[in-house]
Amino acid sequence: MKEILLAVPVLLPIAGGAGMLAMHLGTGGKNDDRRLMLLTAGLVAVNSLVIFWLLRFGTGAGLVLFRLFGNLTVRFELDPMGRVFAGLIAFLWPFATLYSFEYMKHEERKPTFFAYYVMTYGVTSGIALAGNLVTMYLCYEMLTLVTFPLVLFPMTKEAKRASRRYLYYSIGGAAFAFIGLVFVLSFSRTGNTDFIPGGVLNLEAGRAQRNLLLLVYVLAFFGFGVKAALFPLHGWLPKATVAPTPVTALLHAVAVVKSGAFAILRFTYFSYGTEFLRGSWAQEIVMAATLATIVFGSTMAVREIHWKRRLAYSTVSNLSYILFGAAMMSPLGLAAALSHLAVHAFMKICSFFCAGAVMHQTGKTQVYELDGLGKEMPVTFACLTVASLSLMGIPLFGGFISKWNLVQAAFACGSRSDGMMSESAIALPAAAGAGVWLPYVGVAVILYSALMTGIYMLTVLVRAYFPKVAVGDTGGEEGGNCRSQEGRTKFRDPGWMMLTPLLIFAAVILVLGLHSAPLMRLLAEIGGEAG
Amino acid sequence: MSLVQNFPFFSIILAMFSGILSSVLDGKKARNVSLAAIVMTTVMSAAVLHFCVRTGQSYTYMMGHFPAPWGNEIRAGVLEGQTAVLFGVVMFLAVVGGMDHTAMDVEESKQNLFYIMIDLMLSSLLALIYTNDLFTAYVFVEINTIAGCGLIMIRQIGRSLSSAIRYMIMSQLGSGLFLIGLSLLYDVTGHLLMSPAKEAVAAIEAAGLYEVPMLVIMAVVSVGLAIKSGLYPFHYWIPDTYGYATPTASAVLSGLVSKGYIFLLIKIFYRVLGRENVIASQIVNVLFVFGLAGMLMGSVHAILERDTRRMIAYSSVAQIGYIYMGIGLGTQAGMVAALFHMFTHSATKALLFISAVGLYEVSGDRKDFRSLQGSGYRNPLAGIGFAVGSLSMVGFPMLSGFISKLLFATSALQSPHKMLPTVIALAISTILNAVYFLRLVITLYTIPEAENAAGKGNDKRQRVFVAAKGQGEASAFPASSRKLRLAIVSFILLNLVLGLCSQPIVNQIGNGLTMFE
Repeated sequence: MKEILLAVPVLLPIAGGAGMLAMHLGTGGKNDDRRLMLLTAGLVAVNSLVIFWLLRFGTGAGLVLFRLFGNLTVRFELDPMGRVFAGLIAFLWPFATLYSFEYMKHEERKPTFFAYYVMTYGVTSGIALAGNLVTMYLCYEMLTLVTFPLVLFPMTKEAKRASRRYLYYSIGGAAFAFIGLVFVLSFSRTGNTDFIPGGVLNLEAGRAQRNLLLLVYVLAFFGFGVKAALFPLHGWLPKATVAPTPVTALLHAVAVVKSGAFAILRFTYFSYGTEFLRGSWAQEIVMAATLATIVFGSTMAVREIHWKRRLAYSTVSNLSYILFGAAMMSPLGLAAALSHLAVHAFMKICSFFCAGAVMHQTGKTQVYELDGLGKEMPVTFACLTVASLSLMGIPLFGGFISKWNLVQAAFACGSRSDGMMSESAIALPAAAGAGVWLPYVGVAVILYSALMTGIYMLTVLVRAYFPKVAVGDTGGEEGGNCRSQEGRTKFRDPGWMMLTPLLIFAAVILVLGLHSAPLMRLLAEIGGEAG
Repeated sequence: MSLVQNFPFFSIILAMFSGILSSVLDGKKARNVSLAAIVMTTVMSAAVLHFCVRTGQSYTYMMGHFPAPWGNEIRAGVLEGQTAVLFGVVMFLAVVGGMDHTAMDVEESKQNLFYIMIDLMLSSLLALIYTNDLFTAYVFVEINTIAGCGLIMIRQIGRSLSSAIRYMIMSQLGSGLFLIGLSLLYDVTGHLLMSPAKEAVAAIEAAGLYEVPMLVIMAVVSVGLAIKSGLYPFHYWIPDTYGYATPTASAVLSGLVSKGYIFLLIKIFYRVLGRENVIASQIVNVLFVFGLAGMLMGSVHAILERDTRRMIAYSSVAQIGYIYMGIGLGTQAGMVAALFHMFTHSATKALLFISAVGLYEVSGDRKDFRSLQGSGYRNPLAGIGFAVGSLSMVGFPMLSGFISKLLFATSALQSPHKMLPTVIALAISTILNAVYFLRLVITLYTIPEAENAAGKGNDKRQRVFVAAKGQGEASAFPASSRKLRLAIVSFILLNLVLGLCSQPIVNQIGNGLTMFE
């Protein structure tokens, strides 16, 4: 009986969202709004409670929902790694929903928005709970479908273009991921695509066609990497910031992009298995790609002056931290990747929500317009400060922990002092040369990126706290001048519905920074099992 | 011999006679006769299918008590039954869905002619499926061509006349080549019935005789049927034909007619020429290459196209490419994939054409796909239908297109040299499909700028939209939408069935193919 519950977090929001679409809820009237809010809040809250219940009391075996074809079953299971992701989204979603209630207050077509917002919750849970590659692929495709209406939501020309681009990129990525799925299915030693720590590839058959399989791995890595905004395929993410902020924050900083990263972790550690990949040319290629993305993303973020787009580029670089961890193909790498996956979620959603709060209260979207807002919206910018420092990787904040893990894993990977020696040093004599220097480059890249993060996050804070209004006679500061002359009304912090999530996320970042041991222990276990 | 075994013959004759009967009836009655004929033949085919599945074997049916080398034969097996049932269902839904448009597009006095053509089409398709005789196949190929031409031409606007002529010429070229192939084969083997011809071919191959003529036969038959089904370099007749005919005709032509020829080709490969011989002759490799080219080029053309229905037509070129690619893999699995994709494509393409009609209705029947902006809100069901069809073509899991894609990919893994080109082409073609299909779907669900930002007001778009709206309301026919809706819903269900319960169908296709040999 317990197993049935596994399908609930996936199906309930999808059905609920579809129902909301079908009901043609009215908008505008006060009652309409209240009903919509109640319905959305109810669905999200119940769903989160179910997930927490599952996390707390366990689920027993997996649940096969139905059979697509042959051995391709749609199967849900909650394994340790899925727990991390499921817990993460179950924690974030209610707060993000709360935030969006206030943010979307004055928008048209709210029912559509919230319907898809709720549906996305279900699909993302599906990715977390997926028990095999097919289910994950299914949810991955569905994720594209339910999120693109949200990007399209503003219905402006820009939004249309962005959503089209998002759709093409994602479907294209899935098409290459599909190749990976088919190969895993054909070379699987179990005959199906279930996730098993250490992979399901039939190593003997695999060795005969090693290069082919590695090529397929690279294709699928980039295919899933589209959603994780891997460098040449990142183009959709900055454009997608035209969507309303709750969408950018939750989906394009957490749910969608993390699903991409999560899918890569699954594919690498649970389908292909690290034993097959470690030390191969495929590993070098993907690792190089992630490093290139980190450099590219953080550099572009410095160049960008549109605030949300800057944060989007920061997401691009930070996601590749996770992928860098994935590409190390070692237990430590997996643990580090997962820790950054969790921590970055809080940091980035917090920063995006701050940007959204500012947009909502003041309508300002560019970094250079933020002068002096720090004093007018103290709480918002305090939270932003926490998130920024954490993103930079200052000790005491969550970001430090995950970066520390990454660097540590990189050193270990470079000197091959961990798992590699223990299990497969014999199996990979030829691989001795590979992957030895790249991790060290990775360490340098992370340091460079930290510097860039400092620049692009701190410039915002400096603007906000130390406005240049006093010397505002230069050309660029005209806006500031005018405002001070008009003696405009002061901007204020947003209402409680937007502030609560901000404060909670900031608090979580601090807690993670100060007391990360239990989480890290859990992640290390997962790493040890699957790496 | 049980009664069921007579059904293939009955259904061919029934369809043909209902055509003859319709020639003296008026439009409405002819339509009802047609529908009745389709339903009855489908039911009979289902009975045949059931019989073959139950007994686990196929049978040949001798016509008029003349034994093998002289008489004419019909053969029915699982695969034949399956194909006939699916074709019947698709045809029924296409006729029902497009019924009111047929009434509008076709002149009053020619209504019955349209349904005569439908009857003939049905009868020839059934004959192509069931026949065990090469010359009968040829005759019905010609009947099929003529009926097809009639269906295109009956709309009697300039473009449809010229496209009918183009269709006629290309089809005749194809039938001509096919006929040459048959005559050569008759010359070499001395048989026109498939089973004895196959034995003769086997004997010839074993003796190593007639190497060049055999190669020519295979090439000519394949190319002839490839032209008729619209394989890539011979596809020029497709966009106009499908793009300008009445909705029913488009759905039937794209969904069924081209598939009938492909089915015949597969049947000839298996039942006459012998699969091993065909593979040995390298013809499959040629088909494979053209199939791949079609998959990509068809989609590229579709992307460049602005007219929705021509876009869907070009997508057919790509899908036919998929099917030939599957045949070209040369393995049993590839053939199963090709046949399954044939089913998928029949169901999906008809769905797309029929739901496109629903969308046009509410958008003022303009060619440019941008005129469909927002029509997904004006006709929700048609919008959903089109979206489902598009997603199926893109290969979204749970829809039939995904299963085809999966079958193609897994079967490609069995042939080492064709593996990488196939999977890469599949991926690229998926992206290309997404580009034009989902572009359309997005268009359906975007609110025109004019409505969204009323302030901007008076731009051209808005006027176009308002005009379209006005026309849409004028041409909306409440009576039609129920039939159209029924058709769309059934097509969506058919797609889901093919996508979710594909296992037995695929198994039976495999069975049917083994029965072929």
